[in-house]
Amino acid sequence: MSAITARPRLWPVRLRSTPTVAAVATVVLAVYLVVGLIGPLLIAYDPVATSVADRLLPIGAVRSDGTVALLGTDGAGRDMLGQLVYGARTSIIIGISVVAACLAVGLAFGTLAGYLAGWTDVAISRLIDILMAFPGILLAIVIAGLFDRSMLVVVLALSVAGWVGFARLARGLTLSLRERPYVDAARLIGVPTPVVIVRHVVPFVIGPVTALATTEFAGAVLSEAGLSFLGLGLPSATVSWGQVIANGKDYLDTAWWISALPGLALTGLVVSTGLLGDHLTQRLGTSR
Amino acid sequence: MSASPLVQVSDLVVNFHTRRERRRGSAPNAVDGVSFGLSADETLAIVGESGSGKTTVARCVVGLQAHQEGTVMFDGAPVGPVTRRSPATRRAIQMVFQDPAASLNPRMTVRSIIAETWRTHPSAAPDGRTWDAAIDELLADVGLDPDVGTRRATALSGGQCQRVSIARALALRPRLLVCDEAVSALDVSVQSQILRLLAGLRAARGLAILFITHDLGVVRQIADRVAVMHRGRLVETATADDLFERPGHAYTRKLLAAALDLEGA
Repeated sequence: MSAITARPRLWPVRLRSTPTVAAVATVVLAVYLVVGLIGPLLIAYDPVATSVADRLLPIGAVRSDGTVALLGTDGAGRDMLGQLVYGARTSIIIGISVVAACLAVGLAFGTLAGYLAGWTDVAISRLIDILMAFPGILLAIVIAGLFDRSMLVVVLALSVAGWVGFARLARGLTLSLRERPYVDAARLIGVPTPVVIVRHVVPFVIGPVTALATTEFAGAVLSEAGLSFLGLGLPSATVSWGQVIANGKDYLDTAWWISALPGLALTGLVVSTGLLGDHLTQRLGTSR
Repeated sequence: MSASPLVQVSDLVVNFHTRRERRRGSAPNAVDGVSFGLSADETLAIVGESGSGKTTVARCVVGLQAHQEGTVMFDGAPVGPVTRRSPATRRAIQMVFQDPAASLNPRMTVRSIIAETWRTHPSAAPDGRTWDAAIDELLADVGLDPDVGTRRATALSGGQCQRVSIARALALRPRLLVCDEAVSALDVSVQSQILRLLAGLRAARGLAILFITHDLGVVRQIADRVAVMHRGRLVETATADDLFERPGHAYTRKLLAAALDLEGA
């Protein structure tokens, strides 16, 4: 009898599967969401304004205008708290936009390939294979490098290969769903194909795809930070954690907070999203 | 029985060969030269062991399975895959599936499942009555209470699901009902209720029924004629009485003997 070996896990089992961990991750994500959406309304911050007198102030230091820099300042005298809050908004906007675009394209292509089969499936599957042959981040770097820096370009660059995971998952699920007798019954009645897909296939695909979306959200946030770190992401007028980390890399031994704080914020967001994604994947009964 | 059959299947051949099997030409066909006719108001049962090709024949008749050779004629005209059939032909041929629960979308209520047939074929929608009233009437015809209409398949028993499945098929006022092992997944008491229901509906609505089963007891209760399939071929077709009294083919005799053995055991 052959032994069945489990897939190696990235996280300890208890950490992955506990509902308490998922609840904590949800709360952390809610905090990020509130900070990202409401924070910029409460904190005035100009990402292009600099103050030489306030350069490299440590956490809690008093600025030249008498206000307290709660999380210090960077090499250009910009407030770190403002950069973290505005960076959270950027990360959330990019993450949601990329995931929404990838989910829409991946779901459409995946369900079409799985349901229609034949040449449609062959064409879409080969396109997926080709895109999977490239490392996603490399493709994103190439695309981001070709155009002027903007949020739209970053979203496009990350979405070009990002939809593939959704399409593969949706295709696999649809291949199984299309054989269900209730789908046969709908075809037999003469329900038009788009309606069969929307009414009888998509509702059963959307759960696992949503679980995947949470994990892909973390990937999109990380990739955007990576692009911005390399100077290929967002324009300097838009705050990005990746850019802030890059700004602080020359001061790691003297002003560690410039790179460390956005790094920690990024880690917190990615780990929480990953944990919630794992939990959703387990609950919704499928994995990649 | 009318002179010209409602359904005429001629020399039907279906195979699921891989490319290599096709090149070698060695693998057998799933359905190999099957021909039969079915008149309006008639119930024809196709029997045979698992893998004999009876479900494949049924799926060809309803258009869910493509065939390599042969023709399926309905009402004198050849019919192809379900996607290429006219709306009238789609309406006229309906199917009841083997797994009662799996044949109903678990996210939809019974009312929306039945209403979907009328949204697709407005010509079959009830005239002069609300859809709700028509659905209640349809549910009553298959022996279900109106309150079943608000439930989903997951909240229904196997027998109830199969009745809903029959109601969905009847909503389009079909002329041919193909029942693929429609009672196999049900317990014996529910089986006989569903068989009585089908017999009653057939008489009341003048339905032709193509009944696929491996259960000879069921065949005896419902069929006018029986076609016996073995390894993709039709080995014998006879009236139900003749088949049980005077089986002509050796395989039919074996099948009957196996059924009798089971009854005696």
